[in-house]
Parts: sequence; C-alpha cells; structure tokens
Amino acid sequence: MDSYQVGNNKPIKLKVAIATEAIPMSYAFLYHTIDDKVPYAVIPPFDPTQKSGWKQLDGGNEVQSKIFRVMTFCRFFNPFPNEETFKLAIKQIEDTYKVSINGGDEGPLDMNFKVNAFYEGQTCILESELKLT
Amino acid sequence: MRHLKILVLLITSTVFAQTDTNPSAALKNLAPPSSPAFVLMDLTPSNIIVPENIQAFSIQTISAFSGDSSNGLSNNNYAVEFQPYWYVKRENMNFFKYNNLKPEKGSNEENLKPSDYTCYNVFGDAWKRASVSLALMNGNFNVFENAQSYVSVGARTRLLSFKTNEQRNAIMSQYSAYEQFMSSQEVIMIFANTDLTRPQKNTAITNLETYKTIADDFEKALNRKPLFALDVAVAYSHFMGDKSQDLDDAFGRLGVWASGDLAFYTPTIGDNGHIHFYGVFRYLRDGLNINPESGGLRIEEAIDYGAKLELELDNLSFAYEYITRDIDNDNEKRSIGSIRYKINNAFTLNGGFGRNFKSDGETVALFGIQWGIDFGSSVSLGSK
Repeated sequence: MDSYQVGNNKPIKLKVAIATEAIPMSYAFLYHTIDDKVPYAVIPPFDPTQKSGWKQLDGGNEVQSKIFRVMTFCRFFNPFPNEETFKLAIKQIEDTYKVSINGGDEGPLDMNFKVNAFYEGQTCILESELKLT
Repeated sequence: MRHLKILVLLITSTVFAQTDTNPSAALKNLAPPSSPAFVLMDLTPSNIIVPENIQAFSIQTISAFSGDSSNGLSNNNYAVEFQPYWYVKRENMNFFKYNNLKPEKGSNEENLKPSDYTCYNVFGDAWKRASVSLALMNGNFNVFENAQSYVSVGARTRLLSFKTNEQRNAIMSQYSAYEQFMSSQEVIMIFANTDLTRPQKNTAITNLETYKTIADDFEKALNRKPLFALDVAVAYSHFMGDKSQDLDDAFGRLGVWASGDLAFYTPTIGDNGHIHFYGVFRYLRDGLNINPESGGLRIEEAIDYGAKLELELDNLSFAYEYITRDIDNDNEKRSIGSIRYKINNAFTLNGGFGRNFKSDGETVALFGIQWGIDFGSSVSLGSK
C-alpha cells in the first residue's frame, strides 16, 4: 500500500477529478487500521464533476497513522451500441481520473487507482488507498 | 420464390440468434447498413436514417436476395463506419454536457446543482454523433450489364436537436433522485465494507431494488427522443471502371442531404414508443447514367425530397417512406416500407420492401443484418 506523510499537519484535503459521460459518485473513508471493517470518518458522497473543490478529511482533524480509501462508482445511463464503445468510454475515465491529496509534508500527491468495469450494468468502480503516516 | 427466401432467412437468423453459437470475433462490430456511403447508392432499407447510437467502429454489409434485383447487387457490399468522438480525449466532459444541458452563466463551477442546468445546447450533438464511413460496393445499378465496383466515402452527424422543458426537467429530476439514493446510508455502508471486493460491491449495489427502479426510470427519461432533430450527411461514390469492357474510372455519384425528425413520445404503445414524422431533402449529382447517343456515362443533377412515417415500439419499428427524385425532365420515385426488429442486444434485422429508384415498377427487397455480438459480461482493467 502506498503511503503519504501527513505528519501533524491539518487539515488534509482530498480532490477528485474526472471527465466522463457517466454519473460518478465518490466515497472517501478513514479507518483506524488496515483490518478495520467500519470507517470512523466519512466524507459525504459527492459527484466530482459537480463538486470539484477540495474536501477536508475528518472535518479538518489530524489523520496521522490512518488508512484512507477513496472509491468512485460510475454509472452510464446513455445506451452503448456495443462493448467496444463502452470500453472506449472506460478508457476516457482511466485517462482523466485523478485523486489528489494535499496538506501533508510532501505537498500534493496523485493517488494510484484500480478499475473494474462492468458492461452488463454499464458501471465501473475505481479504488484508491493510502496509508497516512 | 423471393418471399420464401426472405422467410427462410428470417427463421434461420432467429434460430441462430437464440443458440449459444459463438461467431468469430470478426463479426463483432457489424452494424445495421445505414452509413451515408451506402445510402448514397440507394442500397439501404431506408433512405432516411438518423445517426443515433452509432458504434464507435462498425462493419456493415448489405445484400439483395436475387441477382435480378433493380441494383443487380452482389453479396460483396461492405462499409466501415467510425465515430471519432470516442477516440479523442474529452476535456471537461460530464453527464449534463453529454446530454446537451448547460448551467446558466455565472454559476459556481466548483459546486453545481442540477437546477443550475437550465440551458440547452442545440448544437451539442454535432461532434458527438459525427461519423465517417468508407464503402466498397458491387452492382450494375441499372446502368451496366455486369456488376461494377464502386468506392464510397461519407460523413454524417446530427446538426441540431431540441428537447422540451418537460424532457429536460425529467432528466434533472432523475439525476437528483439518483444522487440522493447513492448518498444514502445503505449505499455508503456497501462501499465502506472492506470485506467486499470491487465486483462484489458492484453486484451488491446494482442488485438493490431501489437502484434498479431509479436506474430504469432514469434510462427511460434519457431515451426519449428530442422533439426535433436535424441530421445532415454527405457522400461520394467513385466508379472504379472496368478494363474488360473498356470503361475508365469515372465520377460516380455525389450527394448532400438533410433530414428532419419530428418525434412524439407515445408511452401508450411502449416504454420507448415514438411516432416519427421525417422530411428529407437531397441534392444528387449522378454520374451513373448512360448517354444513349455516345454509349458513355453522363452526369445528371437531381433533387430528392420526400417524407417518412415511422412507428417505433420498444424493439420493433415499422416505417414507410416516399421520395421523389426530380432529374432533368424525368421523375423517379422510391416507395419503400421497412421493418426493423431488435431480437436482442446483439442481433437486429433490417428489411426494406417496395419500389426503388430506377426499378421500373419492380418490387425490390433489401436486407441488412446486425451481428453485434459481444463476449463476456465485464471487462477488468489493470491498476494504473
């Protein structure tokens, strides 16, 4: 798992950027440890194409030694004529998706992400995670 | 005999569509024969076509059932069509922009609400729906004794479209309902659950009954056709010549045309029921005419104009079109009924029956098949 040095800085902020024909909804969670099943802090879900500004983690409190996960769920409502066209729409998501964290000792950082796309339901899920040190 | 052949093909096609037979990957991108490169030569079941839901890349084919059809078509008629939109990175794209909705000037770009999208971009489809096609055809087109080869290029797009206030409000209302549901505690808990993998989370969300209802309603609101749309196309076909008959390559046919679609939503006949009234205008510069004096080819200019009435149900549509061609001192007509049946997402049949230009009253049958068969239900992409 990648890490980001936040030190005692606060607030730590998140920004999600994406350019897609789908409706994306982003979810951000903070866990005390990697084994936790339930997050202790949640950023209210948002559509990053409509609310594109920075959001504070845990209301601006210190988040040192925490696990941070960001998920974005995209749903296409316009029909695709075939899977090839759908894959091109997913490639657009891959090419434009950017999850940034800022406020730590290292300055801004673009988080890595993994993607799963599902043609049948015209959805895809992107996930990033980071250990805040 | 001709009708028997049509029936046999329909039955065998339907049976094939319902089997588990996997066709070769080469058939994956076949699409209905509607590219301008085909339409120019009057080969398609309908001469009035709309650039809707075009595949990013498709291969199209069309055949006549018999060698004595008006066009003397062989079975070697293919076109490729692609939409550049999907191959170019889209900056600042979002759901509203894709659906031609714009926020009012002065809105806070960092914190937009659905209610901010009160403006409609009537030219918003022009780039999205633009497509380019290239076709290779073989036929005599009532000009030559033997079938000859032609190469065609074409382009089409939706120049403008207009949705009513009621249609726009329905989209914004559905967006709000979706956003509200996706922000509910039930959905948040699924995404927060670290025991679930991404595919499991996707399944958990998409299997929720509320999700299904909202998504279904949303798709219906978006699938409603614009009240009015104007589509334009241009195509050129070049005659390749035939050395064996001492025929040099020559100007074939050039066409520029526009069609307007006035669509009325009729939910009483189906969830996606529409009645369409189309009007078409086409300028044609036709080099495929025999000069009776010299025996060579000569160019004639023609103006086509006509109308089409279409009843669109969910998977089935019936249409009738009548087009008049004013050409020099002559007057030709195309009167064709067409039918399109979408058997499933992978298989669509298109047929046209009636009288085509230059057919001297003969009935012609044109047929196209879409084999857009896809494999697998999902794609998994690696990490970045």
